[in-house]
Amino acid sequence: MNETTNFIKEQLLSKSKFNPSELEERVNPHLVVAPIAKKKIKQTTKKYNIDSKVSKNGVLKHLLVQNNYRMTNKLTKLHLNHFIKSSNKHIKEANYVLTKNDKAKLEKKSMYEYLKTEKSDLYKKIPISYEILFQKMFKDMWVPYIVDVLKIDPTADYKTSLSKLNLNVCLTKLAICDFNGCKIKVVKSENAGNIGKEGIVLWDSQKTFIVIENNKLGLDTIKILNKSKTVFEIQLPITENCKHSIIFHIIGDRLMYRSSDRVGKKFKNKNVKDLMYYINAEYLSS
Amino acid sequence: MVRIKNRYILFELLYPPSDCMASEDIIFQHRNPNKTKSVINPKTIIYELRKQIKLYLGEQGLGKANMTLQMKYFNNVTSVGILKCSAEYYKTVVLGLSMIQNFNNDKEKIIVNVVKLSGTINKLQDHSIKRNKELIKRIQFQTQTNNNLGYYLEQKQSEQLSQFLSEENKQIHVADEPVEME
Amino acid sequence: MAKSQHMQCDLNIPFPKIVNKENLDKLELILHTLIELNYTHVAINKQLSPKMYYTPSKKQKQQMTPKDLQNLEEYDLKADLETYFKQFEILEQKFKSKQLKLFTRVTVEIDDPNQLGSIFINLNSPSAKNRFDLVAILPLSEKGLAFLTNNNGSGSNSTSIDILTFDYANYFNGFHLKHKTMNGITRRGIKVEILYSSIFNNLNQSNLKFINNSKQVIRCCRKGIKTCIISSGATQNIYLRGKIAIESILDFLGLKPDVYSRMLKENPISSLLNGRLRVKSYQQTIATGIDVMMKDPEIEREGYEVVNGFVVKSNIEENLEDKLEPPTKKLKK
Repeated sequence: MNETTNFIKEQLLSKSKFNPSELEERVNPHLVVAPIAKKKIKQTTKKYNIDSKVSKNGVLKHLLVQNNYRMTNKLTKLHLNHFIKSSNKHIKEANYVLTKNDKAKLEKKSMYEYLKTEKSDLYKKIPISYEILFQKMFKDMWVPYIVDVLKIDPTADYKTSLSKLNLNVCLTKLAICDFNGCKIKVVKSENAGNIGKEGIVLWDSQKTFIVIENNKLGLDTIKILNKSKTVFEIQLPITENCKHSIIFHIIGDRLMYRSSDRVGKKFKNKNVKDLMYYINAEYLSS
Repeated sequence: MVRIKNRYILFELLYPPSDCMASEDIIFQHRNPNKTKSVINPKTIIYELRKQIKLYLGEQGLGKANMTLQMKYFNNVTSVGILKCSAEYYKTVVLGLSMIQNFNNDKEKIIVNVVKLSGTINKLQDHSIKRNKELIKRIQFQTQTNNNLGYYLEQKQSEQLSQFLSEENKQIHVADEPVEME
Repeated sequence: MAKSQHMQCDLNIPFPKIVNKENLDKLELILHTLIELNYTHVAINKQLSPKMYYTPSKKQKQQMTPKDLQNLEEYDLKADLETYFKQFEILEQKFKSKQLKLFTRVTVEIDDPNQLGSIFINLNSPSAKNRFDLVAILPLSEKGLAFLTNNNGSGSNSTSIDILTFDYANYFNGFHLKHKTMNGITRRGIKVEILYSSIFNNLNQSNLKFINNSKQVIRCCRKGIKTCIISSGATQNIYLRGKIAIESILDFLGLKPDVYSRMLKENPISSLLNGRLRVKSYQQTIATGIDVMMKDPEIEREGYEVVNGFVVKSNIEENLEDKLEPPTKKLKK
């Protein structure tokens, strides 16, 4: 109580002041807000157990740390959105330009060439044509990557090379691998309008596949396919000249993870309640 | 309106074979026209029904289910029948039908297969006509395959069955259009 | 749009214990009557009793009395299972063209979970030659039920069981079902099964025992009764019934129409899905083939080839490249 009595005397009770200037100061209309004296908090940096500066793969370890993760995540979402919307907008513009100059009835290749030569500004903003992607990403990059992972010999006869493999080992490897650049087709889904769509994957996010579709009547657009309640199909060519190919199905409900999270993930069986669309839906509703 | 509402039950009797079958004429064996004895007629079926209901649901259940219990149609040859019962207690009647195992403590046991329930007889007749057509198709398909193997006896008997079925169709429904055999 | 198929399932038809010609003929007759009663999906069940899979170790042999030692017989499980799969293949060949689809199933009777050993791993491991489509459990005592709810035991996670059955022809041997256990079991996706064929047996009062046992089961899983299945455990031709007759039996036991319509339509198919996905896919993420429920000969009929489990499509005439068709429609100006 001793401290407070001093405080009360000095600050609150006006009769305690002898000097009138001090009183005037106290009646000041502006509030003086001063910070409370704080103890200094040490900024604890995140500890990474770094043995050496270079990791196993040769990448410098401090580059793997992502500072400001949340900011970058938000920004990437915005950028993705912007990219998709702007590219579809520009395709409409390009269609308009083509019809103006009477180039709408040509084949696709010549359409793209015309845009490349004469309207190069627009051509940069349009997404890549499906043909180029199919050749470069799917055939040249993704197929040899997976054939390597599954250890198939593309030159040998397909029956001998398949009989050496173990099914379950292949499936476990496939669940972990990367699907960017893969040609995907929707086979079963609860949304009947989605069945039959196909395209090459630009990016697999957590809940969707972002895909370039092969449009037969115009320029190729970007589409977004939802992973929930759909089943996708992959056809993997084994031999050269794409004569024989294996078929796999991806059940989208169970793969709702980002590709980076899926690497070390251990999958478990879940309740099959939400997979009832897999069976012929007409029977169940009757 | 306070009137008694009725339900009509379409059922058929199957004779599951206990000996090993000779060849692939199982449809025929299940509905053998020679096996239906004269013992099986509307009266014995209802007697057996009442016995089973009394076993499982007692006298009270019997009294309830017995309200309007009548056999409207029974064909001895194809062993298909239509039963009438009241709408509130049709479930007990169906239970009684499914619990029947044999008639008159016979050795040979029987399955009563309830096919359809409906409020009118017309719909049951339409349904039974469709069903008979499909059975005729199956029998024809089998006789075609059996022709190569040369089972002539069974071919005759199965042709008999298909004849009986088509006659039944004509009895039930006087068709203006000819019966199409696809 | 695909046509809607008619699907009706009967997931428990016991495979005979003594493999004779008579018993196998009986099995075929059962399958034929099922065709007449409009069934489409059928699973043949192989039941394993603890005698068959339990081999006591040396220590335990020393502890046992000489009487028990005499009763011990060595049982050859491998040969047993091989005969089962052989007969199954023969049956599949016979019923190829008819509307029946056959699946394999195993039930393991558990008395004491310590006696299990590594049977689940041996039976259904991914590296085994022949895998069962459905896996079920029959508890003979309270410890057997507790096996399912143990988190540490190997019962819950790694084995992924589909169905839980009980022995409806005898009174439950001194064990009492609890709400907690049944609630946990039904939530996880394991389906409880009711067998209706013992209601037709007048010997040994098995029809009374059936009513008693099934009422106990229904009372115990209160809301979980919506995820239960019904099937016949019929050993003979005569104990089978059609769809409407089974509904009347369930109504007689006190269930309501929305419950028993689900027990006959959706639930057995979802348990079949669960089992088939376990066999044909890696933990329900990626599956091979066109349709998980189809069997090999069906797939071959549609123009694909099956090599070592992989489904292969051969494009001999065309290449995989998409041929661009010239635009047929006119773009609106």
